[in-house]
Amino acid sequence: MMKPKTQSNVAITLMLMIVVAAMIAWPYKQQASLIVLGGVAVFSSVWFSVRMLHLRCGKDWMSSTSRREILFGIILASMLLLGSISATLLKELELIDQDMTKRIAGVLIGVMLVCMGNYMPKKLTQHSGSCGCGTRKSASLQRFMGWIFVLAGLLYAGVWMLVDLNMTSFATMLTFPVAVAIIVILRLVYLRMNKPTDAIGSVRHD
Amino acid sequence: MNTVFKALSDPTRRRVLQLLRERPMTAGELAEHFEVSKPTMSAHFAVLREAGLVEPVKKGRVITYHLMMSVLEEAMFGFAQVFGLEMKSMEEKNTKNGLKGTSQKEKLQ
Repeated sequence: MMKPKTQSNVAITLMLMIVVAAMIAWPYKQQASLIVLGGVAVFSSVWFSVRMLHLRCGKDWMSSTSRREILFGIILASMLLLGSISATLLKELELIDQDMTKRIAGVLIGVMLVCMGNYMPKKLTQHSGSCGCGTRKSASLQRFMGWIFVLAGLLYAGVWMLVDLNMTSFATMLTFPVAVAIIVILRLVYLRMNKPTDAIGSVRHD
Repeated sequence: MNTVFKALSDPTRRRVLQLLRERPMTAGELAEHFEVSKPTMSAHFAVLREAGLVEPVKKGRVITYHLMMSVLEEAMFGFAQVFGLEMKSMEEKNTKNGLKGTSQKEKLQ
């Protein structure tokens, strides 16, 4: 997990990179550059407004969960915007063709799914339970969904990297079912290997 | 990431994480599973908390620990379990060899 200061630095660097890329792309694609710059403006305003709200309530901003989650969202969205504006720019400069632009966009979406899935089990929904006992299933479900998203994201990115472009739309439809199937099979194998006698915590540890 | 590796390197902390995978537990419940002193357990909890692998939720005087492992951290945890066991068996082998070596030395003396 990134430290709060590092997280802010990454977000700021990414946003600055987007602004630079949008400025370079401006002569070629004004509309795309404007959309991207608008995105950066929205991220910044959300960041500052939530920060102001926190400060007004007298809460600690640096260690707050909302700060961490907002910055995580900004980083993800910035990565997506940076990737898309860079791909557009490279295409306009005729360094890559249309097909490659599509592939880059597909891979970026896959990476975004991986990042989202990776972070999913870290979200605290378990605070609602008195002792946490009632939220056991929701935590398990979060972990399960996290693994599915990560695997599906990897498959999605893989499809856009390796599969023929005529087949990608069909192949991407299969990514989530395949990911679910793989996770379920792995879980069954794990349960088969770890019989009740080997139950966690049954052996006392020195 | 260093703090995560540090947290996963210890078998006691890995067992704590395994227990928390089942359900969130209080510090007392977790401590019951181990034959170590309470200050030692607190130190282990502190390392896990610092790595962001667990989240303590305080209600009154009771602290409940929740698992907060990302998918990547869970995968690393899995690897640590496997390689941790291997390292343990290697250590055992080395210890045995070392003991054998000692006895041979003693014999030679």
